Amino acid sequence: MEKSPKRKTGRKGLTRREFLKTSAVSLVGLGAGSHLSPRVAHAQKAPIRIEGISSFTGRSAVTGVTTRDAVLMWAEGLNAQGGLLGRKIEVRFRDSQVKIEESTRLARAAAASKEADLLLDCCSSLESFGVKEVSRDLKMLTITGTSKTTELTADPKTFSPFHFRSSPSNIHDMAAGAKYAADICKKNGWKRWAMIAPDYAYGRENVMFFVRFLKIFYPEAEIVAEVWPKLYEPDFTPYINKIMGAKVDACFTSQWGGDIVALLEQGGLYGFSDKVKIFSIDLGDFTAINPVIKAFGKFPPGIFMGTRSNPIVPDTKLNSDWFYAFQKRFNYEPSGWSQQTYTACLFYQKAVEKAGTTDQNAVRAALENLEIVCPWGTPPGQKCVMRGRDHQIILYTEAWGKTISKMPYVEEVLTMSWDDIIKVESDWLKEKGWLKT
Amino acid sequence: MDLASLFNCLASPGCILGQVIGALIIAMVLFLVASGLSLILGVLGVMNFAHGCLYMLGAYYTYTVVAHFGNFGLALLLAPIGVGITGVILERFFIKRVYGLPDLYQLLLTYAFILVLDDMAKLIWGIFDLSVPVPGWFRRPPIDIMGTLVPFYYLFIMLAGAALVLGIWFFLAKTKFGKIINAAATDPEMLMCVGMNVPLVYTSVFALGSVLAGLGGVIASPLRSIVPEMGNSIIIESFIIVVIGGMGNIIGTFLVALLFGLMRSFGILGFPFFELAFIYILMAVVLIIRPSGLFGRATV
Repeated sequence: MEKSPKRKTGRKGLTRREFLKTSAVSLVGLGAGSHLSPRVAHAQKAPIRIEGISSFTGRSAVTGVTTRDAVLMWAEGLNAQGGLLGRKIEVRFRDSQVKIEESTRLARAAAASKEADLLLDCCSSLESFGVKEVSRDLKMLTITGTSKTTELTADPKTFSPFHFRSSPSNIHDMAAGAKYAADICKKNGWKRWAMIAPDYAYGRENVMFFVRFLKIFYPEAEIVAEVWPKLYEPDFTPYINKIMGAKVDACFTSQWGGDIVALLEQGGLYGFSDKVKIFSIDLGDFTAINPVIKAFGKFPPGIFMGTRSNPIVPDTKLNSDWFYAFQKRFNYEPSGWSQQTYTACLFYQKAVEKAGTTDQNAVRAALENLEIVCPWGTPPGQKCVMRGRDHQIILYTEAWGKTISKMPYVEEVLTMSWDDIIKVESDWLKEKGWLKT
Repeated sequence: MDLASLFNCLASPGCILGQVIGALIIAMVLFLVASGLSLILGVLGVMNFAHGCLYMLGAYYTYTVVAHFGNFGLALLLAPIGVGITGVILERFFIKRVYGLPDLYQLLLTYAFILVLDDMAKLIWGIFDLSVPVPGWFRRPPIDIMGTLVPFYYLFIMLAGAALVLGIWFFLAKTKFGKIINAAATDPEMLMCVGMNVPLVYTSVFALGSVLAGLGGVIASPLRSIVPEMGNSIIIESFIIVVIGGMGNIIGTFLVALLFGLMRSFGILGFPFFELAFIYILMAVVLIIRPSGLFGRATV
């Protein structure tokens, strides 16, 4: 008997085996595709993560809140326009509680998680050194927006390719302040000086630079008294008594926040600001202006102050628009920290656009010597530059003026020349061996 | 060191007066806070680390009353009462549970109060520094005494402070309730045996201590920035004064507060970089030589 021929499978359609095989392959393919393609799509829409570290604890909370709000304002503005490189900005801030170990731990966690595209260091000066070490150690792109200690960027031994600073350096502030003070004192013959500064790195450094540069610009100046109240000192009366007893013409102070308020409150009982010409680097911040107005009923006129975030410093539309937009958004005036941290965000934005990617190495390279236009930039161009050799912002507005009793609380504003600032800075760096001739 | 500055001042009656007045101002605020702490520690045996927060609340309550009613005198009355009520709540619901327990429990509980109260202050009054203006009655040119300017508000603090020192001493030493408080500090069990409501006495003492701390905050508010954690700057100094002065001894507390003020005032002239060290050195010496304090009862 002949075997039946194999059934031909030429009939139309699939055999059961082929059907099952094809189905299985299709299912696997579909499953793989559905697994892969959303990830590809998700990667395209992955947000850009900005991780901030600052203090939201106790009296330092003003730093955390004003810096966080500046970053939020930048992120909201950018997200409303479609984000950066088509990606939304997500912002998260962590509380360092003004503890070095905590800020360092948070910085390490951000770097180790590999989820943060940028670390914003809005911590105190001491903490910033620790965060910078993490930045160097773990190659985490970091911008410091608050600390002003000169050594953070000036010392080449601690240079980190991934660390940048958008806050002023004390040496720049003091060069500008000393030049301003020298010019005024020469006209008025105010030679006898007192220094009152908080007894920690910030205060000590400020006085060191101010005295140095004052003697360069005004050699006749004599420093006849120095007092060092501790940070957050509640009682300034003994210090005021000492200064007034020394019969000085002028007094430089780098007390800030509540300390400058307390100094003026207690000094006001003695008519301190009438008898001694006060030069204050930090009185111009609205975190000090508002409580001083509350204490005195009006802002005391005639004090010489460095200006921080102010709608007329610089006197440009870009700056005043930003100032009032911030005020409208958050119902308080931006602080100097707000201004500096917002500038950090603008630098990052421009660098990412230039690099075309958020890859930290590429952004880091794009940041070096980057020039941006920002509200804080010196007119007329309003440009700031992230100097390549030390990753320090320069060319921001350094201005001083005299206080008046109504908004914007300052007049006769003089913007200091960066040629003068750079010259004295370079001389000091060369003396330290931190800048080659 | 700047010994020339110190000796020049000591050679000038006007300068001495100026520094002494500065010392008295520091001393008065410290005395008010430390005396309340001394009572609480001496009578109740509670290490109230949150005592500085009560001083902070005194300042914040003052700000609120002045902001709403524009009257510092009203704040002088209401703010300490408000802090007293706050103290009663803390004592009735929390502190009484750690009486007689090891110090660590009291430390943990009162430290928790610091964290909670500081954050509550931030939530209620915000993060920005606040100010209370010097009351209008005191806004006049300072008086010139021997070439030294003395602000009117400082005169008020000195006079009011002197009255309070005498008043508190009189209350504790000469009144019936003061004697009950002393008895509660010495032997609470015996006091209970004679029918006194000792828990009520304890609550009253805590309330009184809180009122004193709040009063310190009221007086300091026109001179200092009002911020969360402002109590932290005063609590350590208050403990030092209580330790050196002797627990429960009001006159001792006042004298040591005055000594503290003088050390700060004159120390700043001659030793501007480390004048704070002197009071800590004194504390260490007293603890070694006389652990009960300069004016406290010697322990057996």
